[in-house]
Amino acid sequence: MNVITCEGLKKNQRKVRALSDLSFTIKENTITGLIGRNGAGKTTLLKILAGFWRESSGEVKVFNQHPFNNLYVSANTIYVDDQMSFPASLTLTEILQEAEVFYENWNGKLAKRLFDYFSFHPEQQHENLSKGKKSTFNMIVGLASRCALTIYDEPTTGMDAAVRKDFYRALLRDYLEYPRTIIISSHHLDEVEDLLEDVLLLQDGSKCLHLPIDELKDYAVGLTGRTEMVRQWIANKEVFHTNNIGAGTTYAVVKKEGIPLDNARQLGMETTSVTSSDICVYLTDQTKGGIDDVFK
Amino acid sequence: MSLNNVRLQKVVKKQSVYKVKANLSMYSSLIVIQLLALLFSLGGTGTMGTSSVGYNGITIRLFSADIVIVFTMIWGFITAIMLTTKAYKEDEFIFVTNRLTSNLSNIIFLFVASIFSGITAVLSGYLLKVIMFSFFNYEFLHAGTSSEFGIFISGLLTTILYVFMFSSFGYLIGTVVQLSKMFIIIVPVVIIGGVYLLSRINQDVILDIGSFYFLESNFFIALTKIILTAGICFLAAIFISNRLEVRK
Amino acid sequence: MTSISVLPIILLLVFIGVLFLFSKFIERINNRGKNVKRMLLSYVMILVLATAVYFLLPLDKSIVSDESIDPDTAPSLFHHLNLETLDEVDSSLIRKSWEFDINSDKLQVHFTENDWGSNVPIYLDQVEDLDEKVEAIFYQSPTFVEGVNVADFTALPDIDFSSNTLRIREPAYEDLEFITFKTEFPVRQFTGEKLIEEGFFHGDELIYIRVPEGIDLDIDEEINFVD
Repeated sequence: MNVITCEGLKKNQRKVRALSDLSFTIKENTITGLIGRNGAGKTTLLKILAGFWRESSGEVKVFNQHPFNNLYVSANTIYVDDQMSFPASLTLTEILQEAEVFYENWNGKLAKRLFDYFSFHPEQQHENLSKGKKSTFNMIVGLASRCALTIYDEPTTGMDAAVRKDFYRALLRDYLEYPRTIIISSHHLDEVEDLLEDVLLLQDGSKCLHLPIDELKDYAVGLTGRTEMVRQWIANKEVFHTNNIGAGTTYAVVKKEGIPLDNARQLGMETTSVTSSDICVYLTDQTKGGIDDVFK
Repeated sequence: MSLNNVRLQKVVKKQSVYKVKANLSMYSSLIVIQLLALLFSLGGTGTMGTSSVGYNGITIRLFSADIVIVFTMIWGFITAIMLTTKAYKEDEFIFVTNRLTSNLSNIIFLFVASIFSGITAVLSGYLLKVIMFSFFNYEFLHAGTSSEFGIFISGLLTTILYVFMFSSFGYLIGTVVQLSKMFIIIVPVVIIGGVYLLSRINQDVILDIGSFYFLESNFFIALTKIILTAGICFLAAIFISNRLEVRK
Repeated sequence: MTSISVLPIILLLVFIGVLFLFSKFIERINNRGKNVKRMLLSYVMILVLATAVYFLLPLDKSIVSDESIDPDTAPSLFHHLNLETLDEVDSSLIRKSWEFDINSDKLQVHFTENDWGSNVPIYLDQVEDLDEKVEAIFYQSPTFVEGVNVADFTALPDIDFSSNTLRIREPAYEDLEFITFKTEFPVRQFTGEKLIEEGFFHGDELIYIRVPEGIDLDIDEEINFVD
């Protein structure tokens, strides 16, 4: 069953096109990573899915319903980001109690344990928390609500490395115990890679890739060799990235599918695997070349 | 994965309870505003005087909680506007909601706030009178017409509904402003311009509008006028806000 | 004219704006649920207490509305003065009367104003029915406001007699302040009460001096003769 279906989704924000012609589906009980650079449209997409924003055109369905202004979708969805604001008159404990009232599947025990584990003070106010602590608290709300569709938009903003690790671990364990559809947006894929089943890569508001993570890991291959040879060899192949790495030596990343790797090796080129995170970076490079070109 | 079906009524109920707790800080401004109004009332709500009765001049100060009630109505107006602002909308769109439930629970919240603030406004009249009687050494004329309980209740209900009606004005204006920030300028201009134009046709237009509500001496007609006005404003607000995006 | 009707609206809008920022500020500095709850509880307790105290106040023992004299038909003292029928007016209109024995055929009447200026006219009448006596009567008809005769609270002139001289001294001018409680406007609209009722129903007052006929008078010029 598909939890999310998008067909030709478009969203204009004050004349700027935030999403253009986006089509994809997300299956039930999967963890999908929404990857893209800043401004790729990740947040816009997620807010449309959560029913906060209205699409400009195209079709979007969550649980087979149009999400905007939809109570059913809202009841089964939680959207967690670092902008979450809670009423100042409620203490952290009271916020968790209120959340329990609203979310039918709320796991109070888990919330309490995480709350204690991350040593929150029950009487504290949300707005007085540090950035990382806020994100951690929001993450607890997201986990404990056990919504059929749980959306994390840059959930680890401000968290230190240890807390991040804890968070991903907690997310995975709770997911195994209570499967649901989770979308995590992030710009560092390497951090969430182990968690994900699928990756949806956005570039400039449109879909760049939507693949299972295993296929992504095997999607491209890196070739290093003498510049002329590499240039010639990749001439009619799908090239994601080339870079001069030294005198007369070039590194190129090409789509792995249909590449005769043995052939390449025989020609004296070195083949290396490319991490999925790097693939995403190369795929969404705005310009050919990189930051170095700016200084040329 | 199990999906939860929710009923509108249930969500509205949950949200209303949530808002009463979450917007508790709004009552701190109510208390301060009512105390401020009480302070203004210590000089008397009205005075009348004459310079010569025998060898004396006579000044009579009239005390009532009128100013407190007027300030409370303004508080209702302000509170309703605040509810429509981004900060408060974000607080509520954290949890299960859509615009309809959000509007309905806001209206319920405003009604609860009107009941509370209306009662405290009327009771503050007694506080004022006790203060005047106990701490000031004026000659005491009399306690006004001691109205019967039925009249007291009608007055209390009317006070509550006045606050509610003014909160409906605020809610409508606040909602319109959410459409576009331009309305922060447009709304006062329209109000002032409207009054200006209307008063060219009929000088007493403000007085006429005021007496339509405040001089209606039939309790049930007054009730109908107030509730209808509030109802129209709230309905318009619901209609407008149904297309608003949140958590920008 | 029209600008006059717009001005209050502008002032009201400015006032609302100020109050808006003010309450936003209050809500920011006092946003802890616990504090607000404590504040609310004390406020409600004070109000309930005040209400209870109000109903226990000895309000009924205070001045009771006195309307035994119908203001509409109350006689004008000057009317009676002109008709020389002052002795027929209701005795309730006599605030105070003085009576002094004289054993001389000379009488001086001396008058001292207060600094406000004379408020109560003085009339002197020579009458046949007095013998070796001089009478001063302070007539005052009621001044009603809010149904209460406030004239009862006003000061009296100081009149005494010694060595053939009747001295009338006005008391110092003083503004008497009264307070009265009104119900709130949402109640008044149903009872027909007004915050400020019609105002004062003014009575009048005069000092009437009776002296025996044929006495030798030496009086201050402020004192009028009754012909």
